[in-house]
Amino acid sequence: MDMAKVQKHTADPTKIGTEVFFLPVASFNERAGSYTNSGRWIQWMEKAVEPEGDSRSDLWIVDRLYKELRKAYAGSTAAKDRGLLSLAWDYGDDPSFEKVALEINGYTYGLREPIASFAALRADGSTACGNWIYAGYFQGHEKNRAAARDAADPGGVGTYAGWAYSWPVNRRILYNRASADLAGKPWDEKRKVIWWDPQGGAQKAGSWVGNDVPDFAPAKAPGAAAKPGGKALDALAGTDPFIMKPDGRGWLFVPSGLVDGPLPEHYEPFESPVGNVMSPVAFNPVSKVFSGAADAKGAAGDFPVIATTFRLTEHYQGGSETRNRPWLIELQPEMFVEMSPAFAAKRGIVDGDRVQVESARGSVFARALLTERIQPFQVNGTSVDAVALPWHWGFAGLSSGHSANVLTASIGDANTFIQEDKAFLVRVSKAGPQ
Amino acid sequence: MTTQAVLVDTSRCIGCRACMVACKEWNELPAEHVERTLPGSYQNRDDLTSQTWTVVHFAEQASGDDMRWLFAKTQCMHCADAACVSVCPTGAMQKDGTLTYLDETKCIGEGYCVAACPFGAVALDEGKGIVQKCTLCIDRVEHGELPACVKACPADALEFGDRAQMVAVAEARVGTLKGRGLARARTYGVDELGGLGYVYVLQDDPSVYQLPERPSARPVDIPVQARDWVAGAAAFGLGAIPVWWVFRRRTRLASEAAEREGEVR
Repeated sequence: MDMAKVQKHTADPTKIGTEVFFLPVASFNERAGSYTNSGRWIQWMEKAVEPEGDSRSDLWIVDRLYKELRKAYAGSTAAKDRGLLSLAWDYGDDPSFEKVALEINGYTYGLREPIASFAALRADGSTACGNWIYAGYFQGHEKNRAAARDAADPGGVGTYAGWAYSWPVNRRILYNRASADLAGKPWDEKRKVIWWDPQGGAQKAGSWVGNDVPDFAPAKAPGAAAKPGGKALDALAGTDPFIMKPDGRGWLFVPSGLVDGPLPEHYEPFESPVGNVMSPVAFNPVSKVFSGAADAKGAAGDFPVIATTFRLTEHYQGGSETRNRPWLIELQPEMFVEMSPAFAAKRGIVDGDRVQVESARGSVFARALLTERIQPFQVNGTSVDAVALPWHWGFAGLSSGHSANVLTASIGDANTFIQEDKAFLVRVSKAGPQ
Repeated sequence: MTTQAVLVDTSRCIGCRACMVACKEWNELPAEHVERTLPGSYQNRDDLTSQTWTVVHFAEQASGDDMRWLFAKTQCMHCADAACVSVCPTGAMQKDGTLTYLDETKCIGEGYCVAACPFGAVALDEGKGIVQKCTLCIDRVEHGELPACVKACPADALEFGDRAQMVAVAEARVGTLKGRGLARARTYGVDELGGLGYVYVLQDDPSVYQLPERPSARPVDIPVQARDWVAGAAAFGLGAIPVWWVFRRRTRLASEAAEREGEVR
């Protein structure tokens, strides 16, 4: 899509190769639901306010869409339509987020009793579960563990076991057996996670106990040996904490799993002002590079300045919410580019000037903000200038401005395809008034 | 009688300005137009206005490869010896223990307090015809709630409690900071102007945070109306009356305050 045409409302929908519908969807605080953070906490939230106008929750929209599709396919006997027509779809007329949550949690077929943990799941059709790692998080309205709000942190390591629910089984730290030494005693008395209690367990035969759910066979003593010929956890001794690895050990040498393994290697970014001093290969050869205009590569001769993008406290992501909040715009009102006073002087730029920043992929205009927080990099004995841009702005909103993301390359890292947005090359010049 | 104070520990402040937004949200203050942040800074303004009752000051200190980013929230300091109270001709600005508050029904927007405040914390709202400033969220405090800024602070940089306790915490924190090698760490507001309702832990000199080293009431220009009145009175040989009137009023306010304390006891 050509963003300039979208911006100027000159795009012709009949010339676009697909049909796009925009539906008014409720924002996150206009509906119930849950958030799962990168620490695996599922945090339930209630609806704070009613959606504006005729906008609806995404669940409501998908529910209506499915019901219309089912009507359209009703009466079909084609085998390919069996899946769609046989879907268990029972969320009510005003679809309930809790019913969806219960389905993800899992329940017994027939009675629909919530599953307490994934250990209760059966492969014989007597149980159903949307996602086994979530099993146990939502056992009905009264036992919505994602809504738990006990802020106590007994171990002092930030596990907060009573706050929300951490998948799986509310375990906060994976491989937490490694928090204790070979004998099962915490490495650090001030930061205890789990430990071996020789009198622990229902039979007092010994158990792993503590401030987190053990990520280890609970009754396997530190001195237990691996069972000869044993399978799965039986193949691991009481001193093998990394239970998802075949040998129970942490790996630096990774023979499988990473496409750029088996050992960590240093590569320069896609665009770099210097070569790779660690190896003759400058850039990771298995990084994902899409061969489009958004991946055009600039040379240091044309683009001599290192640039990075960053976030502001006051704005969130693309800013569609925060750049429409007057109280936040008042704090961070406009797009800017940060640079050191020394670099600015070289370009004849003074604080507040309108500045053009160009990469091989695009160009933005922003106000210069001069600060000692930005300093040149000393790379291989050379001083390379640097600038930094927040990336929250866009062409629409109460506060609009150029988006720094038109400068970045849309390449992905080798294993997860996460964009490499944080290091790229630009040139910077003073621009005339708008 | 209000006995509490806010502790502002600048060593814990992360400059997020949630306090500024919370203040506007609770007090229903509109956003003001800000064209750009201050030169070289994220600070969005350097003055307090009738619609912005608190501002976080940003200071950057660079020396060699070391960089320090210092933040301090400023607002009405709720001085014990409050210049705004002394100069108010109508008794609208008053003290109640640690709190300096405005009786809006008595305020006539004369603005002596605006000129006298050593912190620039009182501002005239021309639309309403009265002055405005931080209320210490007394409408929340009276119902057992924290001031909005304190409630919103995610870094525990703001605390609210009995002033004597806040002073003790501030002094202990300064000791800790000095122990970490911050030789210039100090309290602010413990004794200034008889003691402020906002007690600070600073990591550097007050001037770094744009706070006056030795705050004192600023000289007030006698406004035109008052000057005319004095001139007129003098013409009738009554020149001594204004001085006598101010002294009488201050004595009366002091005795009223003493009576209120007596009632509480």
